Amino acid sequence: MNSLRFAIYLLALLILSQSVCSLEIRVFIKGDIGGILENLSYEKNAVNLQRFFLIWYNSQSVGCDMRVRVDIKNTTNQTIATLWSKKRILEPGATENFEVFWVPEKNGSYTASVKAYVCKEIFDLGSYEFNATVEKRKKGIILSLQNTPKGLEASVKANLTNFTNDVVIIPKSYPLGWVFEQERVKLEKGEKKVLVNFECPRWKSERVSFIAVATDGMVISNEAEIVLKKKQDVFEIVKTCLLYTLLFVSLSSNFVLFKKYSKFRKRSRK
Amino acid sequence: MRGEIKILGLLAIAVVIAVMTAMMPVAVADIANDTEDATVTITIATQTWVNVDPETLDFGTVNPGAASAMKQIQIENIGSMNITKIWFNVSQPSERPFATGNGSKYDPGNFIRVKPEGADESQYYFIDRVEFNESRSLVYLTDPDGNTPPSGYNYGRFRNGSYEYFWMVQPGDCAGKTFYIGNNPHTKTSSGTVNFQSGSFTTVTLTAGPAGWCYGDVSSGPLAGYVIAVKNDTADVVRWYKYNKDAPAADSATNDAYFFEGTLYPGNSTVADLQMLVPYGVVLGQKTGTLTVLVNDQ
Repeated sequence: MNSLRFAIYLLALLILSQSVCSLEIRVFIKGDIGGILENLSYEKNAVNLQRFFLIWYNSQSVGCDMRVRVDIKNTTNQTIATLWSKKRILEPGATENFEVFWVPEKNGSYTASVKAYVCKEIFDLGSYEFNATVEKRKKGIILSLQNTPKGLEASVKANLTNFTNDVVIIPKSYPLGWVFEQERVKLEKGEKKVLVNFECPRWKSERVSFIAVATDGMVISNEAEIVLKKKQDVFEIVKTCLLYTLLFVSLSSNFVLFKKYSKFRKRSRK
Repeated sequence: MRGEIKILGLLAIAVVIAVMTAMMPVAVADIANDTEDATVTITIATQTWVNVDPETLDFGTVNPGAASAMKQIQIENIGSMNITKIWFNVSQPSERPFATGNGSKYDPGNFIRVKPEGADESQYYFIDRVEFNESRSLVYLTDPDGNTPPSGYNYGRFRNGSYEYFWMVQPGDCAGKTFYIGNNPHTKTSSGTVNFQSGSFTTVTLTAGPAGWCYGDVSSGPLAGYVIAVKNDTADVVRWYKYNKDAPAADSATNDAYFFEGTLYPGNSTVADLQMLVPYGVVLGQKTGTLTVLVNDQ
């Protein structure tokens, strides 16, 4: 049976004569930074909370870190808030979601100027007008801030039963030129702690404040503030420990030597 | 005495004539050629051979989402048999290169499209383009069941340079499944077809093909003319081909074709127009692939 099959294959090869020729194809992909705004949504009539949701597609050829910046302006064209999304890395061909929240304090008309910061390049994504209404909100979230060796830590806890919404920690006041990320937290039972990322052009101990708000805008926290302290890096901690240890060893050996010297002097007097 | 001289003179003349006469037949023999043909015989071996020039095709520097200049290859019959069919194979990426940041995973064989010499731009087809499903959920797409983002569907993009067409298919046994293709392209300025429940799209019913694949012919919409081959079960790999007669189900589908079908006599040649259509999201740098020309004489 196998020999029959082989004979058929051989016959087919003899009957069908085929030839192949290959060539190499080359292309050089040019380096280019950019992308496509696939989606931008926001509330035309926001109640208690405005959410800007963007989808960015890195359509170009360079992998980049990216943030979205939203400047909120009032009717007199004054910037009343500058908000930043979380930073994300996008490789070429990747799509990523960004969200930025804003809590209005007064009813009114506002304009949001949206920009994408991609590999230090800035892309203007346009201006969007919206109305904001402030309705009564429950103070059902407890927000506290703490300087830790790892950085600025925010703790959130719901003060309401059956609270299931996500909570967003939004910077309220901070020095001009600094970048504070917003942190979205899924509140489960008890307290949730997150590190708040920020970047500053030059370190200085500054007072900053935050609020936490539920993603439906109906539950909010009191404004929490803190004076930032520089976080210590691991090398700094090890160096300090080492110095204290050396100081202790030096003092102990001096003390032992002093005691021995005292005994020696007593004996020599006798 | 005079009589003797006369006789001797006559004798001398006679001798001269005799000598000349004796020499005459030799001269006559030289002028009248005798001919005989030598038969030269050679047997040309039965060979189907093809040669393609140039050996390397460099499309230069191209931006993501842009097209290269058109290049041509000469396909010459250097064998002894009439070439009757020409088709192509191309190198392809083995896994999804997009969003990985790894430039070596991309293959320019996936970017190359071809048309007969001088044919209209609309006659360009990718030889055998492989597409993978998206690396993450796209929250602005709506599936045929109305879910946003899609649920229970695999989806991806047919990356036609700066024009991307979303596609969608349910995983599982692919036989009889419907393959959805958006009619409006997703571009820098337009979302294109993102709603596969109420938007503008084309549907293709898949047929069971060779092991591991289902296939269908795209008969309408902007991608009409292609055969699609969908990987069974996972539905995470889709091949779009035209001129690759070795692709899955190429014998069963109807949209696939030979690039050349006719008689290309020994010594004759044909030309293919080629263009590199680089999609969005390709990592910068040099990319190298292979284009293979296949011919047969049957």
